[in-house]
Amino acid sequence: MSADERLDQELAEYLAGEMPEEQRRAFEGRLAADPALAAEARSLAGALVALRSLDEGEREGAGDIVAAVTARAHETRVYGRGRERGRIGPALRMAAAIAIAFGAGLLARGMMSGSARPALPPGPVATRPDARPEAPARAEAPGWETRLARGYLSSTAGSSDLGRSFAALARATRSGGGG
Amino acid sequence: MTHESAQHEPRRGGAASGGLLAEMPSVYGWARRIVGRHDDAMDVVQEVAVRWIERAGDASPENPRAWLRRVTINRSIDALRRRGVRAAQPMNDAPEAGGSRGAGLLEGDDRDLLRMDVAAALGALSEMQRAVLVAKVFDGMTFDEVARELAIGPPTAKTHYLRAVRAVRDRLSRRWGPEGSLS
Repeated sequence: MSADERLDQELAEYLAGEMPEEQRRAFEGRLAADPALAAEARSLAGALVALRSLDEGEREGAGDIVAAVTARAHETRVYGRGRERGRIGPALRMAAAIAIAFGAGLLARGMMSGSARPALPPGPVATRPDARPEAPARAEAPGWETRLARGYLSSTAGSSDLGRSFAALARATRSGGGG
Repeated sequence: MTHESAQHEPRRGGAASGGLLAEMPSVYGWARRIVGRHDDAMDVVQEVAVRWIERAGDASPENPRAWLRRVTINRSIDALRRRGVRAAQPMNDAPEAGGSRGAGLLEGDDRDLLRMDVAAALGALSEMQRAVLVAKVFDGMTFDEVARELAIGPPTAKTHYLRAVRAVRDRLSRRWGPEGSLS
């Protein structure tokens, strides 16, 4: 593995919050000494912030989704929408039948009451157990990624790994004179 | 262009609907992140359900969640493209660095624009890059978990991840940039 490839591996681990603490501190020291690398890392962190800022809206239980899909399938069967009806009608009816069957099962398990919601995908990643809340630092000359991130990070109070990384990157960039 | 014919296709012999129903909230969540609107997300959920039935019959994929995530993201990107490019603001209409759109950038129309750009960026990735990135960002999986799911090595997963993030960054910087230090 070349030095560049090794650096990319480390950068990926750092951005993903999967770098061990000691290695992370060393990498942040390297960022502080290398403004170009810090700017690269910061812009990539900004892209990740943009991705994670796309929220899921109000989360609904499995039963709610099943019920909604079932209703839509029924509506399509009854009121059909031209070409679409002929193309997907049979499959939708099958999906509706399955949905109804499993909806009953979900009901029986209390999912539709909201009292026992199924496991949902997590929000912003916090893969490192030792992650600590830290207020994001301000970059002196915000680039696009900082402006994109500002609203997201303020709403999460920098409590995610990405928040910590972003704060560290902002510090590194500032101390390195980049922007 | 998205493809849904790669790995983790449904195989015969499993229970068809268990995986789909159990993962429906996740399917909705993935779709909602991309398409933004509840009704559009429900359309995608419906399309994915149909796709599941059409492809699997009475079988289930080897890894239902991975299959559903991939198909959902692909369908969501297609849905957003179909919805159109009502937000087809010229790419050279970028805000100035440090300009007035700063703090409110993730509100309203800006959020829609950002969503369109993210979807376009995801759509331009390779299937593997997109799979790794979405598993990491939307599902919070570790590199080891992603590598196991996709039957690749962790270093390869990291490489795909970084390339994907760079591609998204490059795409976003076209509208939301310029970032002088990157050009």
